[in-house]
Amino acid sequence: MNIIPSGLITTCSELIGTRQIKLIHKKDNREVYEDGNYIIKKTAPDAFNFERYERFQKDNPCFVKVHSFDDGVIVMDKVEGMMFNDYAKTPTTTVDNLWYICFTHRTALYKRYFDFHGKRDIHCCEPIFFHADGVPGNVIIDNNNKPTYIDPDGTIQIRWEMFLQKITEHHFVWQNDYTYYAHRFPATEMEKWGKSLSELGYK
Amino acid sequence: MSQLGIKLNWFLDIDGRPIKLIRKTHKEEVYEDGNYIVKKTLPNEFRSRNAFDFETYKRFQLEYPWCVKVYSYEDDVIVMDKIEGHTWDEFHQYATKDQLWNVCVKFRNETVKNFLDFAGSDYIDPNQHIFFNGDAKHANLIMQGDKPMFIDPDSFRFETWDRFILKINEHNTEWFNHYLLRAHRN
Repeated sequence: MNIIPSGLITTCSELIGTRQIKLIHKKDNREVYEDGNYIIKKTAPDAFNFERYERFQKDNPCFVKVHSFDDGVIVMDKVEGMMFNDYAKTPTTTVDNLWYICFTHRTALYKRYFDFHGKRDIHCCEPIFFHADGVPGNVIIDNNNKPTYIDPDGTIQIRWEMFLQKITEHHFVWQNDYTYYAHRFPATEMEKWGKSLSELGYK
Repeated sequence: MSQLGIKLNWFLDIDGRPIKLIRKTHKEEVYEDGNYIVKKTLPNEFRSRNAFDFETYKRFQLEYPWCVKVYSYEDDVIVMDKIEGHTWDEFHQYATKDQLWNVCVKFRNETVKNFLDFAGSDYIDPNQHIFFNGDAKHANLIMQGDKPMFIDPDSFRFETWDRFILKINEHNTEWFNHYLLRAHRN
């Protein structure tokens, strides 16, 4: 039986009720639990700015809804769907679906970061709010091809130039994933040439 | 005859309107008559890249009319529509940040998707050549209101997949830089 961190039940009892919760991920000082409806993440007490996150999430429901953040415990919605990498490999996922997630939706989200800042002229030292880990590993896609960014404590405010470098880095991660899954996927290559992976030169 | 030897009967076909030279470099001469632009390019043997692929361009333009319509390409001479509107340098001075975003990021992304769609298949072999605008820069864009239009049709060309990827990254970065500069750091 998993050990539940002290205080978790008291903090989240209203949401969780009497349902069984189970540990689904543990790394360093972070633990993630789920109870069927909610995800409970135990992390550092200063892991993220909940108030700012709530304001952004209200207009951007593609960020997972967080219900509470107390003493390092985040209670958020459990998002149903597939992790991006599984979704990308699914035969029913089209090139257009992938383009939407990797480019259309993602760049629209970047636009919201700029808009959320509120001012047109941005000083080079000003901090910008964004998801600093907004990469495919933190995105779940539902049955309607709608992406949700999880890992709310990945959001931070960071100085302008670091923000630009990070979103540029993320752009290349998403572009590489799009290119790979949409146009260079080995399974499609095998099908096209009727050859095995080793015959195609893959190890 | 013009200096590069353009036959003047090109222009007699354009209702006999007076034509004027609007640009001249060591590689090209560009004329206009009010309705059309006539561009005399270097003969094939003097070009660093392949000749303008008019047939492919025509098919692409028909499907994606954000690039200028070309009427003919003969003897290294391209006859195309004259596009009225604002240059990028004019546009960015009055554009809102949303308008800038729409051109620099949204429209830019759409053009890249169009190149990939035009390639025709989901799976792309690394040896496959992709048809795209190899000079999709602000200097080759005219804004017709909010509608961007690329001129310079002979910068469309086939390149191998790796060259295509590198070029679109170069252009994406350039357009994103334009957005940042004009929208937030002007």
